[in-house]
Amino acid sequence: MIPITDESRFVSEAVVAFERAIGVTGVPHGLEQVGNKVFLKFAVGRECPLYDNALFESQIALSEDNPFKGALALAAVKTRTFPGSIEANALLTLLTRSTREVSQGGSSRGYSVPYVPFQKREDHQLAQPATHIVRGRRGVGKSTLIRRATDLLADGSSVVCVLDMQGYSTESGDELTLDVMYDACAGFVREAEILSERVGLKVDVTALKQIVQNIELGALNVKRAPIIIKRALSTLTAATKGNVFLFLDDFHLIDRVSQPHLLHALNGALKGANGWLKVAGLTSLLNVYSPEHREGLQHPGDAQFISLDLTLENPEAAETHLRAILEGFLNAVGYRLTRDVIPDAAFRRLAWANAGVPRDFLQMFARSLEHATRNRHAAVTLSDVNVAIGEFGQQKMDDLQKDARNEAGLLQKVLAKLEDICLVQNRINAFLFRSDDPKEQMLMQILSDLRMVHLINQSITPRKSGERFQAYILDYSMFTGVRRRPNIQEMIPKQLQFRASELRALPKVGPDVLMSAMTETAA
Amino acid sequence: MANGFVSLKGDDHSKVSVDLAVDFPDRASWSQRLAKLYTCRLYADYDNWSDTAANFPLKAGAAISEAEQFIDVVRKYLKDKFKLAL
Repeated sequence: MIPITDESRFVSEAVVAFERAIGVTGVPHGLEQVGNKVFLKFAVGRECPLYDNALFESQIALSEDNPFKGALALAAVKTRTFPGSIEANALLTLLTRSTREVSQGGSSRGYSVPYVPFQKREDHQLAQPATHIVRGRRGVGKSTLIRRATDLLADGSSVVCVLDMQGYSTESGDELTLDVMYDACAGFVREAEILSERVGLKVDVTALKQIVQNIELGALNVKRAPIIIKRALSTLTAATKGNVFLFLDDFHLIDRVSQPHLLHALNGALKGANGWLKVAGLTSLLNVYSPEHREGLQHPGDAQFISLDLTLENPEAAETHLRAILEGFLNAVGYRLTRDVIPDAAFRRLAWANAGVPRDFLQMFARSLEHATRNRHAAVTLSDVNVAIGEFGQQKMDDLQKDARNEAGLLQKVLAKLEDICLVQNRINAFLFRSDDPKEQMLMQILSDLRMVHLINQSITPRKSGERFQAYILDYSMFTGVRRRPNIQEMIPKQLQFRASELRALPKVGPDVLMSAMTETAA
Repeated sequence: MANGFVSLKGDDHSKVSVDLAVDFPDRASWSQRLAKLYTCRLYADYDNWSDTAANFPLKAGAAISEAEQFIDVVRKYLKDKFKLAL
């Protein structure tokens, strides 16, 4: 027999551990006599991998004298609807934890949903000893891909360092270069020591430690830094018989002019020492090579591109990818992607409105689920999705301010022009765009990267042959929710692709529109 | 062995779901599957009456199948990691 006071302490310890692991509080529980042993059972809707993991992690965390160590179990209690279930609540926490924009640091504690690969095994490609530039829109899965690649490299003899570049976004020039080199070398030292312990290999990191110290003391000349680091890394990789990988996530946040210079210095430190750079960022805000200074990474000589975008140009592929991702999350809490969770029409609306961007899609699904729970709906309905889409607009505008600080004013002007032409004058959410000016093309690409417009067709010829346009839709946040405009015709493919006749009829946006926005901003 | 001990106090059964080796395949999942087998064993030994049959988390056939699968996984694990053939 356990004394009553001790028993409540032991129960409390176990309940706190379990609830923390699944991210839900107030899970009903009770004691049950099983043979000669008392079990603590949690009343949940159904068994699932998330609970398996939570029970296991909780039991390991319990103090040694806790009698429920090895005596925690689940008791399945039928739930009426998915939105009202404990599993839906646990899923919301899992979605929040999983959609944080983090690649740096070790694997986070807690359950992680199995990775859903893209179509070309980009994760294995990124884990290869080669220099890569990973490009894609915001939220498309660049940081997730980096985490996956580092997981693949974890068991081998590689030394891996991941740097989130946001911390360096206010720096430039030599200060930036030395700070990044300092953190990279300190990271290599830390990881080499872990590797050394794991495989029982003696690895000398004295030279790298000395570099770190010299940078700290201001005793390392920035021009000599690459060659000195290269020598130290050559010694390291010769000892490990492996490779060194430096991942730079959100590299587009670095001062645009400084980007090629920094990459030039880092590549100089790694190249020829079995060291490889992996750079990830928004397509249009990356500036990896400066022809003027002949600095940076040149494609394809120095680096290969890995593009992650699954756009609405191929709605079926984008939808299939999102379906697989959501299925993975639902499986974690014991559910399948069926109409009891979200009817097909609501799912397709969610996938289309998020233009195939996984993080947006998951975050908006989470918000839709919250609405469904609050409104006591039997499943996530189309109206829950519509409300969530409208609420999401402000976040995208915030992203625009954060990612494109220097050009935010111009981008907002362009958006206002597009809004007027599409939503006010033509009452439709799509347009055709054509420009031969690289700056204007870049503007549209930035808006696409920031998910304010979405490409639906790369090449359409509405008038005379040879005059090619791109077709875009405006993001749903521009005409739903708080910015709701009634009676807007939505471009949604009736089949798997749009018909050419539908696209040809869209309003046209020419160079004059963007030019006037640029002029207004300059004034 | 990855992890082993002998206990004569009868408290060793509950450890089976907690003390699986760190690199044991599907560790969290097997932890719960073993906990269910342990529950079956407790009911079978102490509460095996006609009116308690519904308490068993697994039917007899399923429990045997689970145990056999676990033995297969353990065999493979020991063979792969320690070159031990059982």
